[in-house]
Amino acid sequence: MSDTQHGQFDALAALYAMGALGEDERDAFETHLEVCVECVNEVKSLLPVTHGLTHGALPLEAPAALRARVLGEVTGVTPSPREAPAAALLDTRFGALEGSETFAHVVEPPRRGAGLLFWLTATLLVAAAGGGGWYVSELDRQTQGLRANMDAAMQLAKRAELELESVRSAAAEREAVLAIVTGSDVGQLELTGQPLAPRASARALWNAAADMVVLATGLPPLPAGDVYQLWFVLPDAPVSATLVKPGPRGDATVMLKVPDAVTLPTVMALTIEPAGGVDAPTGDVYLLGQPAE
Amino acid sequence: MAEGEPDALAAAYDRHIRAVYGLAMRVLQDQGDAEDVVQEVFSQAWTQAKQYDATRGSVVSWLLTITRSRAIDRLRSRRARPDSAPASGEVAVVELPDSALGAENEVLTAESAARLRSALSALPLLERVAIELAYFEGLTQTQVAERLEQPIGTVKTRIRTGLLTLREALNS
Ligand SMILES: [Zn+2]
Repeated sequence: MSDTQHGQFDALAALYAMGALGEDERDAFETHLEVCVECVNEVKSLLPVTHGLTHGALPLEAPAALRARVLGEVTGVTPSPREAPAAALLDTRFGALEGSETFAHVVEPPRRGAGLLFWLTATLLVAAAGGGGWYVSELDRQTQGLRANMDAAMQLAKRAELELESVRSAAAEREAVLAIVTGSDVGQLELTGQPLAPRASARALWNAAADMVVLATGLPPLPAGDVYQLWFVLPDAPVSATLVKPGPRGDATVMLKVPDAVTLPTVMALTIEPAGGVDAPTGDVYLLGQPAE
Repeated sequence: MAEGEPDALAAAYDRHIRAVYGLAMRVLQDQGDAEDVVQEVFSQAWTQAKQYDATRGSVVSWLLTITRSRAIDRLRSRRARPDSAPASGEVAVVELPDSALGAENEVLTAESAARLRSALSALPLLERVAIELAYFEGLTQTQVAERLEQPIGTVKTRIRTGLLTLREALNS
């Protein structure tokens, strides 16, 4: 490598391997590749990574009718029915909420433009117990017997149904929520409604980089001048996590950075406080979550 | 998949449809489009089965590579924005000059795929999101910067740093 131009291309191999260069940049880089062994080696070393990323998407159950359509059209032969799908379902990847326990669910088709919220929902639906005729409205009755993450799936499904059109959070924030919730190294804590808010519940999810998402539902309307405040309850003193203002239906999705001083999991609580929040909790506890051990 | 036998195609479909469909949905976020892409992928796999060289990688990797390429093609033509990359033809899947790289290819084991996934989810948020937007939505660094409302220099660095971290994880 004696190409004097290498310096200006040094950082582009990664973007090239990702296919993230614009057309002109790509052409220029490819021209450079013909004379630069260093960049060629760099790209080569990154291709297994980018190829590997194709395995990073969540597997989904395809509509049953698709099989006959594809096999019929491709081969011109009417395909024999598929074997029982149970075995195939077992390798469903679902790393976000429950590592080894996997269930599949035929995810409802998204409306075009549903975007990331759909994916957030779909990902959680995949975690929920499957089968046809599964409706959000039925879940209230079933929740008790089902695994805990049904709750989050249900809440999100319901919220997606109701608020798909009204959700206006920035694309970046939704991306960020998605990234946390669907990560495979996600920690989580359930917060349950206390006597003042028996129908409320929440789930906190966080990743290794200390990004946390809290999904809350069923919160009672706030009296004027009040706000909910979320706390990390540490042994010496509670540390404020964030203020929470639920939407008209009592749902809230908040993102926050976990302070360095907080080691997760830890007890978390949601209290009602004067607008603007307070340094230490003064109001009633509406939600409380305690780590399993 | 062997020699274009209908049974082999059906077996490949049953084995890999969920990964293929999941990836198509990840990119397209639309069931109709994803189904069309699945159709195209297996059609292409069928016609190319005889050329497929099993030593070059697993069937599923091959199918997924086709899937991503087809899905992003479709996504881009759907976007049909003037600043998008060309709406047809081979995209995104890097095609290196043969003279430079030869036909080398990787074989990704299930174990290393899992390692890669977990490394991806452990990346700092912005790195991960930037990589996913570029990779799964076929956005250029400029478009990623717009989507994330970040300076392009930041996006460039995030993607690169993230990718290098993933490489380390894959090679460890
Ligand atoms: Zn170079």
